[in-house]
Amino acid sequence: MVHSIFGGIHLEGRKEGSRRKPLSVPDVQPKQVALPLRMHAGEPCAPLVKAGDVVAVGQPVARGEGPVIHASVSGRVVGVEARPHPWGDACPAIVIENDEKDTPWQNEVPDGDWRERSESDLIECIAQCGVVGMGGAAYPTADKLRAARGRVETVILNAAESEPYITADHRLLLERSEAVLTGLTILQKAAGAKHGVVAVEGNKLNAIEGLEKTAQRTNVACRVCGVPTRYPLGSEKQVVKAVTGREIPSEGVAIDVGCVVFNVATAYAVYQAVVEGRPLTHRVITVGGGAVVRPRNLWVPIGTSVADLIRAAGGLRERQAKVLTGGPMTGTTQTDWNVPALKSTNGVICLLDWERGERKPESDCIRCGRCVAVCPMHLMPILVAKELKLGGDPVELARLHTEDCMACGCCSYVCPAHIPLVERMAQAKNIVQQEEREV
Amino acid sequence: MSYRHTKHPVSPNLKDRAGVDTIMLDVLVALTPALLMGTYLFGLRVLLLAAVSVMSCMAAEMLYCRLTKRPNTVSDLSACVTGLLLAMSLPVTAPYWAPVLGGAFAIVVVKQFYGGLGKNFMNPALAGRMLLLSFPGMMTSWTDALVRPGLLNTADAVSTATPMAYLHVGKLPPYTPEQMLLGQHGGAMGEVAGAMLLLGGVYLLCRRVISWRIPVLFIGTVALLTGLFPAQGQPVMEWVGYNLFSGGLLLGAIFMATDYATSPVTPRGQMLFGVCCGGLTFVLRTFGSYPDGVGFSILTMNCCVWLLDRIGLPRRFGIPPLTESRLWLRKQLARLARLKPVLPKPSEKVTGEKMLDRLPQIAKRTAAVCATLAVAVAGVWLVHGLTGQAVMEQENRKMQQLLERVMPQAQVLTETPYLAEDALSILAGYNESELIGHAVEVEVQGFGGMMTLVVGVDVNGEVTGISVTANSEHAVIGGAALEQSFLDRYIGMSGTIRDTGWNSVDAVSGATDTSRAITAGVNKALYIISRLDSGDVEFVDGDV
Repeated sequence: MVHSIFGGIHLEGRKEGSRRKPLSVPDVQPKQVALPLRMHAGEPCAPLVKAGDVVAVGQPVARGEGPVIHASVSGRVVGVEARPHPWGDACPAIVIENDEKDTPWQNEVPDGDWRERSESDLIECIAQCGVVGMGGAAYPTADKLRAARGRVETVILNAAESEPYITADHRLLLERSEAVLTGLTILQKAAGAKHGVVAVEGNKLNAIEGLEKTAQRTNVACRVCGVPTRYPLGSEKQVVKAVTGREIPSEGVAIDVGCVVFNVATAYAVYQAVVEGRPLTHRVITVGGGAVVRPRNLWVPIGTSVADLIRAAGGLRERQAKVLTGGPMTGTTQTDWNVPALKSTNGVICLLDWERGERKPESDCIRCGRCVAVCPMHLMPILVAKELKLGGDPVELARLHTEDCMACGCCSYVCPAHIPLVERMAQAKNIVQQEEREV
Repeated sequence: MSYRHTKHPVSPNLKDRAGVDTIMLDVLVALTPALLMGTYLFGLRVLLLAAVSVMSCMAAEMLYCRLTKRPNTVSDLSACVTGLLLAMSLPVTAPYWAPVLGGAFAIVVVKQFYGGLGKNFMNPALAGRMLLLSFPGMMTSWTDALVRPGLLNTADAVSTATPMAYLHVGKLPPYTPEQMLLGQHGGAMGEVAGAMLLLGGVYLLCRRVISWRIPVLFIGTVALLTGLFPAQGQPVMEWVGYNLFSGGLLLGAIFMATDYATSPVTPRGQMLFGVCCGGLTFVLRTFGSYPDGVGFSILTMNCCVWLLDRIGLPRRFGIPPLTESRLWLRKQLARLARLKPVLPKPSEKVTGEKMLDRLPQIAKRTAAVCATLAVAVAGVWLVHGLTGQAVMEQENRKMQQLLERVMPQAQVLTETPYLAEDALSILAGYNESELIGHAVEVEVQGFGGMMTLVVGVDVNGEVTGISVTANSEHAVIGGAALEQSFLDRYIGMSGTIRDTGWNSVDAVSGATDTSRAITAGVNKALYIISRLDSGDVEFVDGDV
């Protein structure tokens, strides 16, 4: 049974461009990759290599409290330099010159069946292989599992992929369904959860069918849950609500309601780490959008620059295209194409002007109430914008629960008066936080 | 090596196509079928009136923006929608100045004075219509369908009763359901075509311009209440159906109650809004003096939008339903429990010289109150003296006495606007609800001079009583004829009363002349009354 969620919008999927394109390796390998030391939520890692070192694919190059970073290509380390980061600003990154030999790193391949290994052993393995949340949040998977152990009864695999254009998870489900389901079982065991659920949006019926068949064939006890095709179902709170009917409280996480949510790509990385003993060095990235000549789902080394990714997809039709990492709704616009793809980058989307829709200058609010009707977090952007116009009283704004906003962008998308409501919400959030800090 | 910093521009990078102008255009499109149906039913005058209305609204908006040096907002088409809605709620016989006046009021006073689109608290079109309602006759004379008054001359238009007027008196209108659906009956030019309005509503729902909440709950509440309380002896289903398709309910519920600026934005608030509008419409239709109550109920609820929005604030995500309300209730109860009755503290006593300091202040205040009181008393006394309260009371008492004498069956005597040649005045006597009869004041030549009689005659033409209000008869010679016992002998007589023989009243001996004068006076009165209905008696419409 699928539970209804409030709000959300039905976006045009626009996934036709890359939906039927199998995972493929770029024809030309990147000359250089840059591995930023900050690729996950939390403290950045410290480099283990220096300029001139020769590294192999899968060799740990940076280590910290969180997940390890591994070399994604083999070759010579150019240095640890400041490089632009997709999340903004510059960040020191280990730059490796690719020798195109893909020499593998001699790491100990786990012996025996993973089913016989202990939970803590599995979690340690996942941490050592550098697995992080690959849907965008980049929260270290091992940390999440440690927090969840014994407290959850359901592991949800989030394959909703409600952002337009992006098809990376879809292809992974179709082509690596067995590995993904094994990954889910591993995660279930590590978290001590009884149930496993794969939540897939209704626009990927072939993936649902394939998963069900695979589950039957491999005797994996999991539920494949077709959730409505509605943005932002890919968000953790919404997917938990749709699958279990439980709402995650404002300050809480999914573990508080007995669930833990992982991305499909994360499950696949976990499978590779635990079963094949391969650290997280490559991932699927959808290069799509109307400006791309040949939209594709690429299997690329982490750290490949956006420019290389676009080149691998045939280049751009127009120079004026807007390039984003992540989906068009929540993704970040990149002006510098040297930014590398991170572990959590699931797409590089290049949009033409007509695709983005016309954004006219802001006009007066007509009180249509669409922002209220679409807000999946039950917020009132209209009242927040009005309050800001009146001067932004922190007490009044706090009453509107602006801290619940997850910046999904639904309100800005629908506003017929072209008011940038997401920005307003962020502004209000800042005012409230500042007030709290002062008090 | 330096790198350009990546900035964080606006997300999302997609934008819905809907803008203010496209939304307004959708509303215009949705109104078109009903407008065209109205044109077919009432003639080309409908189109011309609509054009005048739209033009005047747009002109008003443009002029206002020009005069106040604001950006011109005509292109958002909202003035267009207001104009069209206003026109559609008018009767086809409305003069061309009506939409001009209504439109200017709607745009300038109701919308722009409050800050323009989105900030007005009342539906402009409805407010304009209500302004026009204050012109007598114009908004209450409805033309029958398919009569099609001329573009300039509406004299040939025949006024008819709308279905709402029938429903208002508890009868089903004499139209078939098909006629009701298509709009072949009297009414406002955009309100009659029920099926076309529904079609427009479905279009708006499909285009997601409006949500189902307000129209469905509005119409549903009216249906439920009319179904629960149908007029006496009317079949329930028919009663509900005719109620839904009569008057301005469909136009109001689909197009006016859903106006963005004047309806709640929260889903729960919208639901409450719809239900309240429906309930008010039912109450006004049932108990109001004006047949239709849709416009009034929407305007009333428009004023409650702020409240409904606060009541309807969405539940916070992650908090189970009703938890917040329960917490709030508990807090309020705790607050109430903390309330303790406390006697007011006596103010500090001021003694000695300080008291003296305060005296002038106290005196000033007391003097002000006293002066106000004195002025008020003087005013009342003055008015009392001028209007002659005492005189009025005396007249009332006289009237009461007269009533007892002349028409004891009646409870009230009032003057009527009838005027007959020989009668000084004609009064009508009523009991609780019905006309009992008339009383005629006549003058006749008596023995000693003119005498005035008031003769009461009931609706059957029989005398109910006589009173002599003024006479100059000699107390000895004519006095006997003026006694009540003699006058009572006329009670129950009708036709022409003779002096002798059949249908006669014998004269009092010794007062023959006075008796005959009274008989003559009674005959005169009976004659006047007998002609009341035949039209010979002049009816003077005037101040009574």
